[in-house]
Amino acid sequence: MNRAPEGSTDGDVTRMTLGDRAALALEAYRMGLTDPLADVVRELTPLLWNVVRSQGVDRDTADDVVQGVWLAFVRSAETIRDPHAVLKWLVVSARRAAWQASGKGRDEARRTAALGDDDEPARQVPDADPQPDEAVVVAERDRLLWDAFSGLPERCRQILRFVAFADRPDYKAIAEVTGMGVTSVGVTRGRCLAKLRSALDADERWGWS
Amino acid sequence: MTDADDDRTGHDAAEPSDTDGAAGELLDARDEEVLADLARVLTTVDPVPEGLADRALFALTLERLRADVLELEQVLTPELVARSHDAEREMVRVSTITFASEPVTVMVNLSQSASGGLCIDGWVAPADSYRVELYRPGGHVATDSDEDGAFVLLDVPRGAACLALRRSDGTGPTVCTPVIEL
Repeated sequence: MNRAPEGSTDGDVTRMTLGDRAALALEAYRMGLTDPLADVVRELTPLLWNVVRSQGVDRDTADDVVQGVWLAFVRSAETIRDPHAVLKWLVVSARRAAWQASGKGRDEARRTAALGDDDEPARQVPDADPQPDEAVVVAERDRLLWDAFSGLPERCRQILRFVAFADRPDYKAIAEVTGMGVTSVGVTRGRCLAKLRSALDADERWGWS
Repeated sequence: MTDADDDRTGHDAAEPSDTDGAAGELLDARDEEVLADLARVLTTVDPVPEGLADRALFALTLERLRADVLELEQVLTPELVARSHDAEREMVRVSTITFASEPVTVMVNLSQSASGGLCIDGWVAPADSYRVELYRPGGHVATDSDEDGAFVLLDVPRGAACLALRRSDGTGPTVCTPVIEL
């Protein structure tokens, strides 16, 4: 593939990222065309799901949170001025909503537990970092990867979870919401990947394909 | 494909890219492999709930309908009035429902259709021919009423849905019902 010789612009169609397409879809939505946005919702929902879940939100709540983010997105359609900020807007909103939801969930559970209402069925205090159902990881290779991933620091798990579900050129936008400076993002991502890889390399059962 | 071939551009050898932003680090083949595997494992371990994107799109459709139509209000029967305080989000499970707003009233009757879905018999007043659309998570169907305002939607899946109606000649407003649980 040829790269545009003269300083390729952000709008270069051949290099269009998910973020760019989301921006176009939002433009189309403003003009009353809903199909492009539907495609983007389908494509980006897994990323938002992983963003929300990596913040320690239970599955039921995460379901609501992701729907709420999309609603907030179209409600804000008129105010998102920079089309290239669309992906960042979505991810930041998802993370913020997840914080609020998990904070609220923990507060409510704590209050309920403190009151000890006998009529209420006992509620579990949601785990700050709920573990997904590990039992479903059956293939040994997947199990090794999952164990290595689970052993990483939380920050690394969050970042890699974003990165695994994002188009590569969108890393910048996604990384901006992890709370790090833009320049340290690539480094941190690389460091987390390196940690994961060395954990896998240390296991003689692991083989690269 | 061997890793030796693909592993030549390791982290240190990676050239800064003008489009990769951030620190310009490129991913080598093993990074790509481990990320692809990780995405797959996460999808297995913590899958996106089935239909989540469809439910989100349904919520967006409702939002859009609400934005530019006149919303019909459910005409409450006495036993439902007690539950009406949260009527906007609450889904009611009844077999005959009437909705009304200033220009339009629609009554729908739900029955089991032979194929397992629901049959929706509806009647719109004042009598006219209407375009009737039913929106639900994962799709929408449309039909036209006859000149007396009667319409039938066959084999509608159960679940959340709302109806939007407008006169076939394009005059008058579009109206839509609140979400009902079929």
